[in-house]
Amino acid sequence: MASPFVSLADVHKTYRLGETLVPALRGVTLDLHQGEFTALVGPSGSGKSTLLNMVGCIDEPDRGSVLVEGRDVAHLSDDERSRLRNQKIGVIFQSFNLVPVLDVYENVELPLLINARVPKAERRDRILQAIEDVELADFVRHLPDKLSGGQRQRVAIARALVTSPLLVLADEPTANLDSGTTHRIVDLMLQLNESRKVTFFFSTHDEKLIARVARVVYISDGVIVDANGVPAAPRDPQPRHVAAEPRAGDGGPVPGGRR
Amino acid sequence: MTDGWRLALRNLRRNRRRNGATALGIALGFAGLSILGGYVTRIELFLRTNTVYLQHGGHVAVYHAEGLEKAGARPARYSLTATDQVAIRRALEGDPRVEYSAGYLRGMGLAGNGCRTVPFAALGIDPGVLQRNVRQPDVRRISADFVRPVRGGQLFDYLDVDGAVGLAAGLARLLGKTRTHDDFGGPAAAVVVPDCGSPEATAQIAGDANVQLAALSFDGALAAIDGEVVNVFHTPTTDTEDQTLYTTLSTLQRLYSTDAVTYVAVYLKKWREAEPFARDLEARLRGVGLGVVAYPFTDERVSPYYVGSMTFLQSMVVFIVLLVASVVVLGVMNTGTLTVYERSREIGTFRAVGYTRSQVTGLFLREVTLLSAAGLAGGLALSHAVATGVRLANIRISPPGVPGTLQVVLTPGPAVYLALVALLLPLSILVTWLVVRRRLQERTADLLTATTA
Repeated sequence: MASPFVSLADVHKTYRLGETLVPALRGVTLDLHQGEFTALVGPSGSGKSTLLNMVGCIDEPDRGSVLVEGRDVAHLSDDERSRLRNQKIGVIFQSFNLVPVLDVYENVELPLLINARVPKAERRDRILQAIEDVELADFVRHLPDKLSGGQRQRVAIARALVTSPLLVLADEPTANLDSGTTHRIVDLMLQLNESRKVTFFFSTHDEKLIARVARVVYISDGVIVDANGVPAAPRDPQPRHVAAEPRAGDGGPVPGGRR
Repeated sequence: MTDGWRLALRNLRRNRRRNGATALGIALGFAGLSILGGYVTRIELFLRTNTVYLQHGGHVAVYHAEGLEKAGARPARYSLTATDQVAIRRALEGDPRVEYSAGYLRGMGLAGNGCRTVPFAALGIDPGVLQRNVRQPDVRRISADFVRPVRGGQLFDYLDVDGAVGLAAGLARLLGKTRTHDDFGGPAAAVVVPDCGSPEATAQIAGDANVQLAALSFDGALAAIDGEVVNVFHTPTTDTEDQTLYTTLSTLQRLYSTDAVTYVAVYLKKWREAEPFARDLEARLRGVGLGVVAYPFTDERVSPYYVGSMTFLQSMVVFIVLLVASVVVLGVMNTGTLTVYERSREIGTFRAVGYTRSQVTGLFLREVTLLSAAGLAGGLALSHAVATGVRLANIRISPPGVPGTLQVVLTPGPAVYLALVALLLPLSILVTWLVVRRRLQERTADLLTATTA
C-alpha cells in the first residue's frame, strides 16, 4: 500500500481554559491516503475540529507527530507550514469565512496571490475554472453578502480547490446549509474527489452525508474509536452533477445580478 | 493597483466612520504641527536674520582669544590688530563658503548734547557691509520694518558727512536729538545752549544734529569728536535702545585712535555651515599662529538671545509634538486594535489558506499606510488653508524684546511637512505592526473561532 499522505502518530493536544486543562486529543493515530473521501464523525467536543486543525497544519500537537508526505511538520518553520497549507491543503469552513469586501473572483483568488507556483498569467484561467467547477460562473463579480449560504459554501470550495491541493479539509461544511443545498455540496465534493483524485477529510454530524462516504473515522473524547468505519448505507454509485442554475435550496440571487 | 493595496482600500471602506475619524485625527494633528512648525520656522528666521545681519554678528565671529570677554575693559590688549585682520582676510580669501566679511569695532564712551551726557555703546560698521546686510533677501522679507530708520536715512547714504552717526531711539530721546541731518538740509550751525535749565533749552538742543562723543582712546588718552546724527533707529532688541550708537568704522577708529577691530564677522552663503566653518577657520588661523576664537552664531556666548529663544521654542515644540503625536498614535492604535480584533476570524482564514504572518501583517500595514496618507494629505490641505487665512488677515505681533511688529506667517516649508510625515507615518505603521503582530502570535485555530468577527 502507498505511504499515507498524512500520518498522525500518538497525537495529544490539551487546551487551557482558565485554570482548567481540557484534553482535546488523547493519543490519536491516523493515516489518510491519497484520493480518500473520509468523514470524521463524533459528538460535539469530541476533538473533531482539533483533529482537522492538526491534519491541516493549522495547529501543533503537544505530543506525537504529524507527517505530511512523510515530513514531520514539527520540523517546519511557521512560514514553511504556511507554504505547505497554501500549496498542498485546501480548507473549507463551516461558516464559509469569505472576505466580505472581495467578490467571488477575488475570494477564490486569495490563495493564489501568494502561491509562487502559479504564474500570474495562469492565475485567471485557474480561478475561472474553479468558479466554473462550482457552477458560479454567473456570480463572478458578486460580493458574498449577495449570495445564498449554498453559493457561499461553493465559493469556499472553489477557494479551497483553486491551488489544486492534494488534501481538502472541511469542518462541518454543510452544517449551515439546508438539506437540498447540503446534498448538492456533497455531490460536488464527491465529483471533485473522483475527477481530480483530491483527498477529502471532513467532519460532520449529518447522517445522510455519512451514508455517502467510503470511510468514516469515529472519534470520541479525543480518542479515535474506529479509524476505518464504513457508512451505514452504501455510497451513491454515481454522484449527481450540480445544476447550472441556482435552485430552491440555494435560494440565491439570479445570475448576472449586480453588487 | 496591486492586489494587496486594492484589498486594503476595500477594507478601509468597511468602517468608514471609524476610519474617517482616525484620518481626521491624523489630519488635525498634522495640520496643528505643521502650523506650529511654520510659526517656529518663521521665528527662527527672524531671530537668525536679526542676529547675523541686523546685530552684525555674522554667521561666524572671529575674536581675539579672550576678546569676547575682555575687549570691553581692555580693548587695546584684546582687539584684533591690523596684522591680525590681514591674516584673517587671507584665510578667508578664496573660500567658496564665504560670501563676505567685515571688521567691526565696539566701544563705549559718553555722548553729550551740550547740556547732558549719557553713556553709549557704539558699533563701528563698514558702510558697504551695512548696505549689503540690510539688502539681504531674508532681511528684506522678514525684517524690513526693523532696518528702516525711524528718522533720517541709512548710514551708508551719508558717506560725505563727517562723523555721521545713527542713534538708537532711546539714546536720541535721552539726548534730545529729535531731528536729524536731513531736517536741516545739511550740517546745521552748532547751537550753543546758554542755559540748560531754561524752558527753551529743549528746543535749542533739538536745533541741530550735533552730538559730542567722548571716550578713552586705546592708548588711554581722553578723546572726543563731533558727530552728526543722520538717523534714529530701533535696535533689534529693546534692552539696547537707550545706549546704542552706530557709526562708520573709520569714525569710531578715529575716536579711539586705533586701526584695530573688536571682531571680524564672516557672512556665509549657507547658514547651516556656520558651525563646521567656525571650527575649520579657527583651526586654520591657529595654524598660522593667530590666537583667535571663531564663534558660530549658534554659540550662546555671542548670541544669547538667539540661542535662548530657540532653546525655549525647541523645548516647547518637542513637548507639543510629543503630545500631538501621542494623541495621533493612540487614535491609530485604537482603530488598529478594534480592526484587528473585529477581523480575527478573517486573519485566521488568511493564515489557514497559507498566508504567512508577514503577509497578513503586510495587508494591515497597507491599510494604515493608506489611512495615514489620506489623513496627512487632508492635514496638508488644512494647514495650507489656515496659513493662507492667517496671512490674508495680516495679524501682527510684537515679539518679546523686539521693537516693532512682525506679521504672523504660519506657512510651513517642505522641510516641516517632510519631518512630520517622517514622524507620523512610521509611528502609525509601527503601532499597527505591534497590534497585528501581537494578534498573530495567537494560534490560528483560536483566530478562526474568535467571536469578535
